[in-house]
Amino acid sequence: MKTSQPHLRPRPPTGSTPTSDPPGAASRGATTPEGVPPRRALSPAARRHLTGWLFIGPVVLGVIAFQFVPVAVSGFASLTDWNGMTSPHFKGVSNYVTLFTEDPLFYVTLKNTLVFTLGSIVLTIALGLALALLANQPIRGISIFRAAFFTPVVTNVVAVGFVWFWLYRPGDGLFDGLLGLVGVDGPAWLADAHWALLAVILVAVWQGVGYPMVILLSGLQAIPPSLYEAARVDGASSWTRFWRITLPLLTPQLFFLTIMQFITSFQVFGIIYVMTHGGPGDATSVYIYQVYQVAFSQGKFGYASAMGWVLFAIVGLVTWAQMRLEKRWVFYG
Amino acid sequence: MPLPTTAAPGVSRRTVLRSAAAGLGLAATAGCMTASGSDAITLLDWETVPGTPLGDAIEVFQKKTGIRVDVQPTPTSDYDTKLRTVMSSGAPPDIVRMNDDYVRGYSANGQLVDLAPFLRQDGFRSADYFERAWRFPIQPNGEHTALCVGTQPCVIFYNVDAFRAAGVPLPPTTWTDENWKWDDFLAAAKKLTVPGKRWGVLMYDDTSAETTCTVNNGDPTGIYSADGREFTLASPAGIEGIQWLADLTHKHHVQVPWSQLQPDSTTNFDDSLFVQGKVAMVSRAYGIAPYFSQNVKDFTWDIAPIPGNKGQTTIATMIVWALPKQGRNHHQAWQLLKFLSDGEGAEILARQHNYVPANHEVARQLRSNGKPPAHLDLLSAAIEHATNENVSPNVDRARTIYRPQLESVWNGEKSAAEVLTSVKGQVDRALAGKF
Repeated sequence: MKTSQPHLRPRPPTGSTPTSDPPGAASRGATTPEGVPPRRALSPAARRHLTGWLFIGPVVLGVIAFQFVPVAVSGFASLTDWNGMTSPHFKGVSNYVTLFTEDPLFYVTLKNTLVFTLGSIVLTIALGLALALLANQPIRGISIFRAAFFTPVVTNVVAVGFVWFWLYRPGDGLFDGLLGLVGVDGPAWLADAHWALLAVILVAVWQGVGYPMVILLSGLQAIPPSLYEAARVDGASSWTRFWRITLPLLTPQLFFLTIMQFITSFQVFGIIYVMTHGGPGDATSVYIYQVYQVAFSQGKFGYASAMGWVLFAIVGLVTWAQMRLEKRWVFYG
Repeated sequence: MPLPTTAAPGVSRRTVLRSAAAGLGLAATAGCMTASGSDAITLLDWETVPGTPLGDAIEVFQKKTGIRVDVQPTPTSDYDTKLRTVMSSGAPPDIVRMNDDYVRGYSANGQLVDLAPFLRQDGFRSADYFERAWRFPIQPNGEHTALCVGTQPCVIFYNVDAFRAAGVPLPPTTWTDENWKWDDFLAAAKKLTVPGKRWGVLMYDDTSAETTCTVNNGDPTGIYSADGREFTLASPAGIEGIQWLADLTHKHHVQVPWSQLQPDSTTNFDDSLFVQGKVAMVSRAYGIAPYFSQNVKDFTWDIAPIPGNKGQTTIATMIVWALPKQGRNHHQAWQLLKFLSDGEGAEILARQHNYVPANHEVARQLRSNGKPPAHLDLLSAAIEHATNENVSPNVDRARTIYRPQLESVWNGEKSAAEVLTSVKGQVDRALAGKF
């Protein structure tokens, strides 16, 4: 099949006159009869570059204006006492020092965020894998099953929060009702500091499990059936086939999910805001919720920017570590 | 299908690019245009305006002055956050409703117009207003950075029918704590509680109780010291007051458990418990009255003073309007503010029956209209028995530290003494602006 080669410069037909003067033809000081210096024409390569930049220019400007500039501003703000209203005063790294040494909520929210992240990653991916294995079965109506588990992913977090709030309600909530049937008094799910974070993690898992399910399902469907057939011929049990074939060949998807889930879980906000407002006490107060509180409830934009940069550093560090460990466990077949 | 290599007939790439550039230019120009002309002012409030007395007052104002008022509706939830955001944006509305707790902070940041020249120019006299309401927006530097058009005292809303059915004497109808001290209140709550059907009281979800239970227990400062730099809720009187509130639930079992309340107040869930007859007494600012008037169908309700102990005061929430300095139409905005606080506009607002007008003349028109509550005169008297939370620019930070911790007291996990003494150092540092 013939393919075009846009990277090659088009050559003029043999014998044709070049459409522009060769470089240097318009010598310095040369003028037209009218005394106006001639415009130096762009070479075709430069013209192509310019055309390319003209096309991507608006996007580049958008990225600079709406991503790089805000990031730079927040970096500067993190070194000031900016409250969003009056002129910022430069404070050096004192926001960072305060954050690490004086802010009682920093370590509390960081710990909650880590617990939430680890809990939700492990449960979401494990359940997602189990559901993907189930959804990969050639059963009539399986698409309904897949859709049912994916629906919460695209459901508004506010709606999810309110529904689960009612499920968790002490006394007349569904869970307490079910536990009551077997003579068990349910805990105050969202009001008991020992249970609240777990309760929110369960909601996050319920809402998020459809995403890894779909990703892992695509991975499962990409595994060649011949591998399983060969394993069967060799007498491998279904458990062995799973451990020796399925899981290794799903590691690229698992790696992708681990990174993505870590980043999104570490930035959890919506479900906390809707269901608990960080309570009871600080039991479910996560890092981003605290950043929001500091910035928009207290007007400490400089301090909140410092918190944001610390979060960026943590997420960046962990993601880098995950990338470094990739070679040890990810198998690209 | 191969991609077309040329533009559609009659439309060259140059034409497309030129059109795009022209469109961008037009959009930029449109973006630079203001949403409202100079003859219009913008107003931000956390309550629904159309169809309410405020909406009616604005309609009359527009007809009389020719100044158009564009109302920017905002849901109650997180209004303070929304306000802070628009104030930080550099393009705030011309006139804003403001939580009275934050007037001091915005004033300290130089965000609000000093209304003193306007007040002098239009002949406003402090004698025409309740002193507390008049003095509230005056800052330490003498600037009058807001206008308080009325107050909403915190009172006890109670189910009259439930009292009668339980054989409990009705609370006082004047501002007195005779037979209405904490012990009397508790005794009434016990008799009103019907296990599984009705709780006697709901009080601790109303944050004004933090102040009233401290002040009424003998510490005049309330949550913070007068200069707003010390956390006095951790004083012995404060600790005892907070513990008394928690004991209503965990010791006496007459208050709705904390676990059954919603963290998000936007649904009115907690207030609906009173509407449904599931709670016999609730402590609320009087601003909730229209909600009760509209929704209570099955019983008669009335209002009573906050129970006393060593003293008897209440929190009087101020209804405060201010003009942001960065607003564009100070003069027109002042015209509206003047209209709402004095004369015809204030009279229209008074029909809401959900606050006490700050102006004596208008307040005299606050009379019962034959519907609950029967004892509206309690409200005017409440202002004379009101206290206000001492504030400083750092109380927001302080609240985020101690309020979540109080939940473990409300849950019965820890004692008030344990929580408040352990958190005091952190709160004091926050009040000092340390973090």
